[in-house]
Amino acid sequence: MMDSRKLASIALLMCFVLLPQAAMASKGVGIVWSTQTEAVAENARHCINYGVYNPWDEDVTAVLTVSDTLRPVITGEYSTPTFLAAGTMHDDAKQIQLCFYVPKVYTDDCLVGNMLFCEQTCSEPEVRYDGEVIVMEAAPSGQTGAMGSTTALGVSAPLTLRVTCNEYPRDYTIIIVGVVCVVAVGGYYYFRIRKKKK
Amino acid sequence: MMRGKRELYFFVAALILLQAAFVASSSLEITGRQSYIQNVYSEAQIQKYISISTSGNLSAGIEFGTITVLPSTDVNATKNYNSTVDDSWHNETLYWIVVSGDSNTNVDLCVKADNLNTSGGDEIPLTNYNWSDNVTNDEFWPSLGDSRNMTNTSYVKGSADIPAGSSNYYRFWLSVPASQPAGTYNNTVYFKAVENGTACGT
Repeated sequence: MMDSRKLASIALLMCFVLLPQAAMASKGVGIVWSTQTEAVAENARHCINYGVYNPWDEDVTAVLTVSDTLRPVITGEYSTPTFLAAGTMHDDAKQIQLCFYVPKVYTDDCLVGNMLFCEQTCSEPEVRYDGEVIVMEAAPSGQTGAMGSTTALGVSAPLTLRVTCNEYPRDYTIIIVGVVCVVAVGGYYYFRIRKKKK
Repeated sequence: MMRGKRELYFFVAALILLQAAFVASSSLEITGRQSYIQNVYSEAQIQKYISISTSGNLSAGIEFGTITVLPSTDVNATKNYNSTVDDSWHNETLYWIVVSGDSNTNVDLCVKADNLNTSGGDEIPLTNYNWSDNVTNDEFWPSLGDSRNMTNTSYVKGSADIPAGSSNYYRFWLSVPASQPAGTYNNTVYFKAVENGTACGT
């Protein structure tokens, strides 16, 4: 039989052993993704959903951002901080929509200026935007007063945007319509002049 | 009357010609036999998810304390060999990253840092700030011998192919030359998990 003093000292020892570990409660961030390569059209907006989650035991605020290579085509407020409660598993991830706008990247072959009698042969190499979507803790952890470093944690998902090229032939409709109109007007005046002469 | 009719015929002919021009310029597809095709779609979606966390000590920051002896070479971060929580631990590091069990993709872990400087602008070059990582944590690993410099240009890959539920351990060292101005030097060290086999990025 242990006496109560021994039990109390064991309990105290257990507290000293367990408390530091309890103080090391973990926090982190997570990302859920369902696509890594997307075909996107020129001059069009394209949106992709990502999930952010935090299965750890401390609440965090996370920011969804993209790598420098994707920055030129990202649109809207993509880096708004999102609160993630502790214990948010991937099934309950918060959905954040990222939207991209890809400008016109393939040059048309036009006979007149940049607009008339154009064709697209899609002979240029495919344009791709390779990068990553990153979930970061909104603010670095750790103290800043001491000599050393604060730390920041992130996870990323790869993303490639392949810009599709739509091939189309040169359109001569305007020339044909113009010729027909000229012939029609010319014919009309031809008949009127002949009529007047007679 | 006859001439009026001629003009009318001419305009009708012009209209027909115009219509023919439109038809010719549009991509009209003429098919042969009519056929019926039943399309059956199939779909499968693959979803991936990764989550990581830092140890409490890594989350609290990487500290080197007050350095009073200059020059100092490879000063240990305060928690490099400080695991004395449990008798079964001997000088393990208290800096680590855990891949959550709620992940379905193995990860590679990457590190980069900002410049290590004072608020006044004095700076310790990142070539003096070393780190090492390993999936083993004991008094030997992660080792100074395997260490590499911090970089601020892009992430550098450390341990790779770490499965869900596993940890990766870190140690940090700082060297300070004799000429280094006094001051409190700070920066941020970034840890990023990427899908196994993909680049760390910038």
